[in-house]
Amino acid sequence: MSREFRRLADEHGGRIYTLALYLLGRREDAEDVTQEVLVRLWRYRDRIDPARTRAWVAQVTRNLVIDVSRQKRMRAAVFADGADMEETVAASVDASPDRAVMNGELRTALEAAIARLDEPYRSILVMREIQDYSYQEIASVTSMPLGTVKVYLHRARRRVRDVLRTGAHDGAD
Amino acid sequence: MAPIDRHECEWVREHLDAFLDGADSDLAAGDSERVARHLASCAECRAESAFAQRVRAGLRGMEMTAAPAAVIERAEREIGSTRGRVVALRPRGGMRRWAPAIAAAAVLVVVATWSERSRRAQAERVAVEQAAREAAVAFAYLNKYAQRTGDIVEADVIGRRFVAPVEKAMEKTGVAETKPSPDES
Ligand SMILES: [Zn+2]
Repeated sequence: MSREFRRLADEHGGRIYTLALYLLGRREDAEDVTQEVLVRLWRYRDRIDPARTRAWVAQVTRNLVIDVSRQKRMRAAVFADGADMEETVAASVDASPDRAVMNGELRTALEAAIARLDEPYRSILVMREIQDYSYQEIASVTSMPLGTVKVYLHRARRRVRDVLRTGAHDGAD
Repeated sequence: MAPIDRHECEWVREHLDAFLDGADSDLAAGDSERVARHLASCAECRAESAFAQRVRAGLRGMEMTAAPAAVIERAEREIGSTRGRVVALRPRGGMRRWAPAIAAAAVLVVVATWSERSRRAQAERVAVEQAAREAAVAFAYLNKYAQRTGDIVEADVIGRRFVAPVEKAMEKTGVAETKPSPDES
C-alpha cells in the first residue's frame, strides 16, 4: 500500500496543503488538516470518481478547515485570519503598492491581500488563480452555481487590488 | 477629447475582470466591445486594467506549497495503524459500486428464507421486508454521504443504521430464535 499511497500523496498533497495553508494561515493547523485529508483520500480512493478527485480533495479540505476554524473559535483562540502574514507585509504595501509590486514583493503583498479576504472569496480565489481549478470544479466544491462562482471571483480580484492599493490598514482595526 | 463619463468608468470597473477572462469570459460580445472602447479612451481605466493584469499574473505565478514529508509520513502511519478499525462499506474492487444493491438483495433472500422457515404471519414478514428496505436505503445513503464528504463511517454507524433494524425485525418475528446451534444437525 505504501507505494500507491505515496503516489496519491505526491499527486494531491501539495494541493491540499496549499489550500489549507491559505485558508487557515497557520502551518500546524494546515498540517493536521492535510494529514486527515490524505488519510480519507486513501480510505475512499476506490469510491471517488477519478475525474472528480481534485474537486473531492478540495471539498474535504475545505470542510475540515471549516471544522477546525469553528473549534478554534469555540475555544476562543485566535482565529488565524492571516494576521501574521499581514504584519510581515504591512511595511511593503504601506507606502506605495506600486513600489511593492515593482521591487519584487508582489508575492508577499498578494499573500497579505488574500489573507484579508473572507470566505468564500478566499477559497475561490486560491482555487482558481493559484491552484488552477476550473470554474466547474469550484462550483462543485462550494455547491454554488457557476455564475455565482464567477461573480465571487471577480469581487475577490477586485478586493485584492483594493487592498494592494490602500495598504493593509483599512478595516484592520 | 471628450470628457470621461464616470458612470461608464464604474460600469467598466464592474466588468473589467470578466473582460480580462478572455476566452473564459461570460461577457456578451457587445459588452466586451464596450469595455475595449472605453479602455481605449480612458487612461485611468487603462491603468486599472494594467494593474489588474499584473495582479492576475502575480497570482498565477504563485506556486503551490508541497505537503511536508513529515505530514505524509504521519498520514501513512495513521493508515497503517487504523486499517482494521474502519468498516469497508463495499467489497474491494469493481464490485463496490454494486454493493448496496447486492447487500439489499442478500437481505431480501435471507428474509424470504426465514419467512418460509418460520411460517410467521404475513404482517411479520412485511415488517422484516420493511427493515431490509430501510437497511438498503441506509446503506445507499451511507455510501453516497461518505463519498460526498469523505467522512469516515465507523462500525457503530453501520450497526445502528444497517444491522440493528434487521435484527429488530428478526426479533419481532422470532426468526433469531430459529438460528441453528452448532451441535444441531
Ligand atoms: Zn474610465
